[in-house]
Amino acid sequence: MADDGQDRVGPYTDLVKRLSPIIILGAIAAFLIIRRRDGEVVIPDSAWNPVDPS
Amino acid sequence: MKVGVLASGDTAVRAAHSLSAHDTVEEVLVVGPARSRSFRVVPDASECDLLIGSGDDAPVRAQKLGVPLLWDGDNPADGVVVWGASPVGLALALGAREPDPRIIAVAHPDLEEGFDHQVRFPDPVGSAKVADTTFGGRHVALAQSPARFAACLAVGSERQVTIVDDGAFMSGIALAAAIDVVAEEVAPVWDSALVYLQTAAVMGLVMAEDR
Repeated sequence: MADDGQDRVGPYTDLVKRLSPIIILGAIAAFLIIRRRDGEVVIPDSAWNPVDPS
Repeated sequence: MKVGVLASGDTAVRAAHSLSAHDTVEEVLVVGPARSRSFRVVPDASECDLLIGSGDDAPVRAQKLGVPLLWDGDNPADGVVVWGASPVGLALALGAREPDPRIIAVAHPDLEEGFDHQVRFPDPVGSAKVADTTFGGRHVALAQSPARFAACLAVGSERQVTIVDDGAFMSGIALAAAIDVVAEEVAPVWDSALVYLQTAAVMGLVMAEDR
Protein backbone atom coordinates (compact mmCIF):
# COMPACT_ATOMS: atom_id res chain seq x y z
CA MET A 1 0.00 0.00 0.00
CA ALA A 2 1.30 3.43 -0.87
CA ASP A 3 2.27 5.75 2.00
CA ASP A 4 1.18 9.35 1.47
CA GLY A 5 2.98 10.53 4.65
CA GLN A 6 -0.18 11.27 6.65
CA ASP A 7 -1.49 9.56 9.82
CA ARG A 8 -4.49 7.40 9.03
CA VAL A 9 -7.13 8.01 11.68
CA GLY A 10 -10.89 7.46 11.65
CA PRO A 11 -13.34 10.36 12.16
CA TYR A 12 -14.22 9.32 15.78
CA THR A 13 -10.58 9.02 16.89
CA ASP A 14 -10.01 12.56 15.72
CA LEU A 15 -13.07 13.79 17.69
CA VAL A 16 -11.87 12.10 20.92
CA LYS A 17 -8.44 13.69 20.49
CA ARG A 18 -9.99 17.13 20.15
CA LEU A 19 -12.37 16.71 23.12
CA SER A 20 -10.04 14.92 25.55
CA PRO A 21 -8.76 18.10 27.31
CA ILE A 22 -12.38 19.22 27.89
CA ILE A 23 -13.35 15.77 29.25
CA ILE A 24 -10.39 15.75 31.65
CA LEU A 25 -11.11 19.28 32.91
CA GLY A 26 -14.82 18.42 33.35
CA ALA A 27 -13.98 15.32 35.41
CA ILE A 28 -11.68 17.34 37.69
CA ALA A 29 -14.36 20.02 38.18
CA ALA A 30 -17.03 17.40 38.99
CA PHE A 31 -14.69 15.77 41.53
CA LEU A 32 -14.05 19.09 43.26
CA ILE A 33 -17.77 20.01 43.36
CA ILE A 34 -18.76 16.62 44.83
CA ARG A 35 -16.01 16.88 47.46
CA ARG A 36 -17.22 20.36 48.45
CA ARG A 37 -20.84 19.20 48.70
CA ASP A 38 -19.81 16.26 50.89
CA GLY A 39 -18.00 18.63 53.23
CA GLU A 40 -21.01 20.92 53.55
CA VAL A 41 -23.36 18.10 54.44
CA VAL A 42 -21.23 15.95 56.68
CA ILE A 43 -19.55 18.52 58.91
CA PRO A 44 -22.60 20.38 60.34
CA ASP A 45 -24.65 17.20 60.84
CA SER A 46 -21.95 15.38 62.74
CA ALA A 47 -21.53 18.31 65.16
CA TRP A 48 -24.87 17.64 66.88
CA ASN A 49 -24.76 14.92 69.53
CA PRO A 50 -27.79 13.65 71.45
CA VAL A 51 -27.65 14.48 75.18
CA ASP A 52 -29.89 13.90 78.18
CA PRO A 53 -31.42 17.03 79.73
CA SER A 54 -29.21 17.92 82.70
CA MET B 1 -54.20 10.95 88.29
CA LYS B 2 -57.00 11.43 85.75
CA VAL B 3 -56.46 14.06 83.09
CA GLY B 4 -59.29 15.62 81.10
CA VAL B 5 -58.52 16.82 77.59
CA LEU B 6 -60.41 19.80 76.22
CA ALA B 7 -60.91 18.60 72.67
CA SER B 8 -59.91 21.65 70.69
CA GLY B 9 -57.75 20.43 67.81
CA ASP B 10 -54.72 18.44 66.73
CA THR B 11 -52.33 19.56 69.50
CA ALA B 12 -54.69 18.54 72.34
CA VAL B 13 -55.42 15.17 70.72
CA ARG B 14 -51.70 14.46 70.27
CA ALA B 15 -51.09 15.48 73.90
CA ALA B 16 -53.83 13.06 74.98
CA HIS B 17 -52.04 10.15 73.30
CA SER B 18 -48.69 11.10 74.89
CA LEU B 19 -50.35 11.36 78.33
CA SER B 20 -52.14 7.99 77.99
CA ALA B 21 -48.69 6.31 77.83
CA HIS B 22 -47.25 8.33 80.75
CA ASP B 23 -46.62 6.54 84.04
CA THR B 24 -48.17 9.15 86.37
CA VAL B 25 -51.45 9.26 84.43
CA GLU B 26 -54.11 6.75 85.42
CA GLU B 27 -56.60 7.65 82.68
CA VAL B 28 -57.12 10.25 79.97
CA LEU B 29 -60.69 11.44 79.50
CA VAL B 30 -62.04 13.63 76.74
CA VAL B 31 -64.32 16.35 78.07
CA GLY B 32 -67.21 16.50 75.61
CA PRO B 33 -69.16 17.12 73.58
CA ALA B 34 -66.85 14.98 71.42
CA ARG B 35 -66.42 11.52 69.92
CA SER B 36 -63.36 9.39 70.54
CA ARG B 37 -62.37 5.84 69.64
CA SER B 38 -59.32 5.96 71.94
CA PHE B 39 -60.62 7.63 75.12
CA ARG B 40 -63.71 7.71 77.29
CA VAL B 41 -65.77 10.85 76.66
CA VAL B 42 -67.31 12.54 79.71
CA PRO B 43 -69.85 15.39 79.80
CA ASP B 44 -68.06 17.34 82.56
CA ALA B 45 -64.74 17.37 84.42
CA SER B 46 -65.98 16.02 87.77
CA GLU B 47 -63.75 12.92 87.46
CA CYS B 48 -60.64 14.91 86.41
CA ASP B 49 -57.74 16.03 88.61
CA LEU B 50 -56.31 18.28 85.86
CA LEU B 51 -57.32 19.57 82.46
CA ILE B 52 -55.12 20.03 79.43
CA GLY B 53 -55.98 22.28 76.50
CA SER B 54 -54.68 24.58 73.79
CA GLY B 55 -55.91 27.81 72.27
CA ASP B 56 -57.44 31.05 73.54
CA ASP B 57 -60.74 29.48 74.70
CA ALA B 58 -59.21 26.83 76.96
CA PRO B 59 -58.80 28.93 80.17
CA VAL B 60 -62.44 30.09 80.10
CA ARG B 61 -63.66 26.50 79.57
CA ALA B 62 -61.43 25.27 82.42
CA GLN B 63 -62.73 27.99 84.74
CA LYS B 64 -66.32 26.97 84.00
CA LEU B 65 -65.46 23.32 84.63
CA GLY B 66 -63.68 24.20 87.90
CA VAL B 67 -60.52 22.14 87.32
CA PRO B 68 -56.93 23.54 86.95
CA LEU B 69 -55.61 23.74 83.37
CA LEU B 70 -52.23 22.98 81.74
CA TRP B 71 -52.06 25.43 78.85
CA ASP B 72 -49.89 26.41 75.87
CA GLY B 73 -50.67 30.15 76.17
CA ASP B 74 -48.15 32.87 77.03
CA ASN B 75 -49.66 34.23 80.28
CA PRO B 76 -51.00 33.01 83.65
CA ALA B 77 -54.71 33.36 82.80
CA ASP B 78 -57.39 32.62 85.39
CA GLY B 79 -58.03 28.89 85.65
CA VAL B 80 -54.49 27.98 84.54
CA VAL B 81 -51.97 26.18 86.78
CA VAL B 82 -49.12 25.66 84.24
CA TRP B 83 -48.68 27.88 81.17
CA GLY B 84 -46.23 28.24 78.26
CA ALA B 85 -46.49 24.53 77.40
CA SER B 86 -45.66 25.03 73.72
CA PRO B 87 -42.57 24.77 71.48
CA VAL B 88 -41.72 28.35 72.51
CA GLY B 89 -41.89 27.32 76.18
CA LEU B 90 -39.73 24.33 75.32
CA ALA B 91 -37.07 26.64 73.82
CA LEU B 92 -37.24 28.90 76.90
CA ALA B 93 -36.76 25.80 79.08
CA LEU B 94 -33.65 24.92 77.02
CA GLY B 95 -32.37 28.48 77.53
CA ALA B 96 -33.11 28.39 81.27
CA ARG B 97 -30.60 25.52 81.63
CA GLU B 98 -27.76 27.44 79.96
CA PRO B 99 -25.55 29.73 82.10
CA ASP B 100 -25.32 32.50 79.48
CA PRO B 101 -28.03 32.14 76.79
CA ARG B 102 -27.35 34.51 73.87
CA ILE B 103 -30.06 33.40 71.46
CA ILE B 104 -33.26 31.51 72.21
CA ALA B 105 -35.15 30.78 69.00
CA VAL B 106 -37.96 28.64 67.61
CA ALA B 107 -38.85 27.74 64.04
CA HIS B 108 -42.26 26.12 63.62
CA PRO B 109 -44.62 25.76 60.65
CA ASP B 110 -47.47 27.38 62.67
CA LEU B 111 -45.51 30.58 63.41
CA GLU B 112 -45.48 33.65 61.19
CA GLU B 113 -42.52 34.70 59.06
CA GLY B 114 -40.07 37.06 60.77
CA PHE B 115 -38.20 40.04 59.30
CA ASP B 116 -35.66 41.06 61.98
CA HIS B 117 -32.61 38.86 61.33
CA GLN B 118 -31.46 35.43 60.23
CA VAL B 119 -30.93 32.46 62.58
CA ARG B 120 -29.29 29.21 61.50
CA PHE B 121 -31.29 26.26 62.88
CA PRO B 122 -30.06 22.66 62.58
CA ASP B 123 -31.02 20.74 59.44
CA PRO B 124 -33.56 20.04 58.07
CA VAL B 125 -34.96 23.44 59.12
CA GLY B 126 -31.83 25.42 58.17
CA SER B 127 -31.56 29.19 58.02
CA ALA B 128 -34.74 31.22 58.69
CA LYS B 129 -35.72 34.85 59.21
CA VAL B 130 -36.87 35.47 62.78
CA ALA B 131 -38.96 38.08 64.58
CA ASP B 132 -37.58 39.25 67.94
CA THR B 133 -40.40 39.18 70.46
CA THR B 134 -41.29 38.30 74.05
CA PHE B 135 -43.19 35.27 75.35
CA GLY B 136 -44.20 35.34 79.00
CA GLY B 137 -41.86 38.29 79.55
CA ARG B 138 -38.81 36.50 78.06
CA HIS B 139 -36.97 37.41 74.87
CA VAL B 140 -37.27 34.86 72.08
CA ALA B 141 -36.80 34.86 68.30
CA LEU B 142 -39.59 33.23 66.30
CA ALA B 143 -39.48 32.01 62.69
CA GLN B 144 -41.79 30.19 60.33
CA SER B 145 -40.33 26.83 59.42
CA PRO B 146 -40.53 26.28 55.66
CA ALA B 147 -41.44 22.61 55.98
CA ARG B 148 -43.31 20.43 58.51
CA PHE B 149 -40.28 20.31 60.82
CA ALA B 150 -39.79 22.49 63.90
CA ALA B 151 -36.66 23.40 65.85
CA CYS B 152 -36.01 24.87 69.30
CA LEU B 153 -32.55 26.38 69.74
CA ALA B 154 -30.68 27.88 72.69
CA VAL B 155 -27.21 29.26 71.97
CA GLY B 156 -25.02 29.67 75.06
CA SER B 157 -21.40 30.70 75.53
CA GLU B 158 -20.09 27.13 75.60
CA ARG B 159 -22.62 25.13 73.57
CA GLN B 160 -25.78 25.19 71.51
CA VAL B 161 -28.69 22.91 72.45
CA THR B 162 -31.55 22.00 70.17
CA ILE B 163 -34.65 19.88 69.73
CA VAL B 164 -35.74 19.14 66.15
CA ASP B 165 -38.80 17.13 65.23
CA ASP B 166 -42.06 17.13 63.30
CA GLY B 167 -43.84 20.38 64.24
CA ALA B 168 -47.21 18.87 65.21
CA PHE B 169 -45.52 16.07 67.20
CA MET B 170 -43.42 18.64 69.08
CA SER B 171 -46.47 20.80 69.90
CA GLY B 172 -48.35 17.80 71.33
CA ILE B 173 -45.46 16.74 73.57
CA ALA B 174 -44.71 20.33 74.62
CA LEU B 175 -48.28 20.50 75.96
CA ALA B 176 -48.37 17.01 77.49
CA ALA B 177 -44.99 17.34 79.27
CA ALA B 178 -46.46 20.07 81.50
CA ILE B 179 -48.09 17.24 83.50
CA ASP B 180 -44.93 16.73 85.60
CA VAL B 181 -44.34 20.40 86.51
CA VAL B 182 -47.61 21.05 88.33
CA ALA B 183 -46.89 22.79 91.65
CA GLU B 184 -48.80 24.67 94.33
CA GLU B 185 -48.35 28.00 92.55
CA VAL B 186 -49.21 29.02 89.00
CA ALA B 187 -45.99 28.89 86.92
CA PRO B 188 -44.62 28.67 83.38
CA VAL B 189 -42.94 25.45 82.24
CA TRP B 190 -39.45 27.01 82.21
CA ASP B 191 -39.60 27.57 85.98
CA SER B 192 -39.18 23.78 86.26
CA ALA B 193 -37.04 23.48 83.14
CA LEU B 194 -35.15 20.30 84.00
CA VAL B 195 -38.23 18.26 84.96
CA TYR B 196 -40.11 19.60 81.93
CA LEU B 197 -37.29 18.70 79.51
CA GLN B 198 -36.85 15.26 81.10
CA THR B 199 -40.57 14.53 80.68
CA ALA B 200 -40.48 15.76 77.07
CA ALA B 201 -37.53 13.41 76.44
CA VAL B 202 -39.40 10.47 78.01
CA MET B 203 -42.35 11.26 75.70
CA GLY B 204 -40.14 11.08 72.61
CA LEU B 205 -38.34 14.35 71.91
CA VAL B 206 -34.55 14.18 71.50
CA MET B 207 -32.24 16.93 72.73
CA ALA B 208 -28.85 17.45 71.04
CA GLU B 209 -25.87 19.70 71.69
CA ASP B 210 -23.05 21.21 69.64
CA ARG B 211 -19.95 22.37 71.56
